Amino acid sequence: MKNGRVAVVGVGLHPFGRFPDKAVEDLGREAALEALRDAGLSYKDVEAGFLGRVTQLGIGVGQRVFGELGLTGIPVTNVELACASSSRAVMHAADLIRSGAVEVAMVIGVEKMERGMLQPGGERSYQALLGLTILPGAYAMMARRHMHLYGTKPEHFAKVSVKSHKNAVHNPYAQYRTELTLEEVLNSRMIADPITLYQCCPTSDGASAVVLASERRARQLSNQPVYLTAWAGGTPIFDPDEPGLSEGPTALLARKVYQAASISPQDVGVCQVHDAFSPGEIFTIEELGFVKPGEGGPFVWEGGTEITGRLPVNTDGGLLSRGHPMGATGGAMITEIVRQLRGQAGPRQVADPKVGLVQNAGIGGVNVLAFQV
Amino acid sequence: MAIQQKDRARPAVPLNERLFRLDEAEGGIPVLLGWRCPDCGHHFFPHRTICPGCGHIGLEEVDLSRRGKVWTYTIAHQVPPGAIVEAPYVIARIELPEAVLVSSLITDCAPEEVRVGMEVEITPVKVREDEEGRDVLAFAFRPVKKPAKETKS
Ligand SMILES: [Zn+2]
Repeated sequence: MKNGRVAVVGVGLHPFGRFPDKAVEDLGREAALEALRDAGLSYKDVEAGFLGRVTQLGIGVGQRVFGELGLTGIPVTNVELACASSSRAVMHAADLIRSGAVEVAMVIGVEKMERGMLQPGGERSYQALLGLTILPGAYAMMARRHMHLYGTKPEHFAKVSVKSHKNAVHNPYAQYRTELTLEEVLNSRMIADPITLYQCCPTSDGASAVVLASERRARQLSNQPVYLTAWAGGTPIFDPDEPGLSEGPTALLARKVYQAASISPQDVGVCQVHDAFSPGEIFTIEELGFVKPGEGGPFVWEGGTEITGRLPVNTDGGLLSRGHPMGATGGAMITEIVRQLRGQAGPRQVADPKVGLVQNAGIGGVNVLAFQV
Repeated sequence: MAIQQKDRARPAVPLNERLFRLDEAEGGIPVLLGWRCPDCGHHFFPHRTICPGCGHIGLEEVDLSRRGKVWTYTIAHQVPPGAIVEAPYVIARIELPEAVLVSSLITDCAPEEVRVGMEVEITPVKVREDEEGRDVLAFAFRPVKKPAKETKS
């Protein structure tokens, strides 16, 4: 038996920031209760649980976090895809609902992180010893290549961060809620040229929760359902001609999602992309087909991704300002899209969006999801 | 940076034998170990067993070119924990004639002189001494001092 469309019926967050006195179970529980309240459901309605998380949390985190909410015997699965863990968890929950196996599933994303620069791939000790593997370095090299190919300027990347910080002022869940000028961003400490400190996302504690339901079940609830109409995930594809700038086949996944949802990039009214470092927004809006390759820098510079622009991007402040507790980030992106599509985003509300897109990248993997009302 | 030039008179060993060997006939220059697919001809670095281009199992080890061009780079101003370099330092992706990209430091030039497209050649750098007093070497790339005319003997 098929369940028809998949709906998001509840979203919730624990604020992002530093919460040394709270355990991940506390963060996850608060986000989950907010999402259940938002959905008008209780935990006993949830038939399957998925947890997105990345580091420092030990074995069986999902069982512990969901166990805080009740002991109802549901299956709980831990999902890890680096910074894209909870969006991938949402895809698994959606697959399960679409298959007809369950009618209500919940995703929780959690993370508690230490301060400082993350080191990917600890097994690559040769590269680590020589300082070759820093994450801002990887984005900086992609940025430099983009500058070489298209004439993109450091100011274009910095503008992304100015815009993100401006949006986050209106997001009570965001880690940084202070506006920054272009000069402040450009003149902050250089990390990996052209990326300065204020163009790097912070490390964060936080949690997100997303409740999904079958269309039939969603129609019984009071909230306006937001439909998750297409989703696709992938890993890098070997291309001998063009080494890609991004972490996965975003462009290919976007085409799949547009086709499956019968939409085009022009239909997208609000978008969340992976801006762990400011160049990410510029690469990604090109890969998602909103602008041609090389046009991302000028598009951002001219305000195209502002809340009032042609394509509002990262309206909640993005990873740069909302914060990036890795396991929670995908769920937070989805939370913002759902609030925008319902018209509940308050001072940062985009004018009447009908289609929202999420692009969430983890190290070596990427997810693209389309939402519609 | 804290890494040093190789002293040619001293015995040396590669930091990672899976990535490169030292060509003693050439004075201990590092030679990157590439992996070539006998079916489709693509080269890979570092080591792979299975060709991602055609799926062939069993790639052949080949020496990669010593010279290449800077494909992209960044000047890093912060040293990650555990690294032996000193900031600022240049991280680059070097494009070799075999169409492989190699991550490497760029040494022997001021960071602000590095450009995309710049011609570079491999060079050894000393990272430490081992228990037997031998120099442990890594590879880096440096600008080619004289233009491409010279041939290696
Ligand atoms: Zn092959």
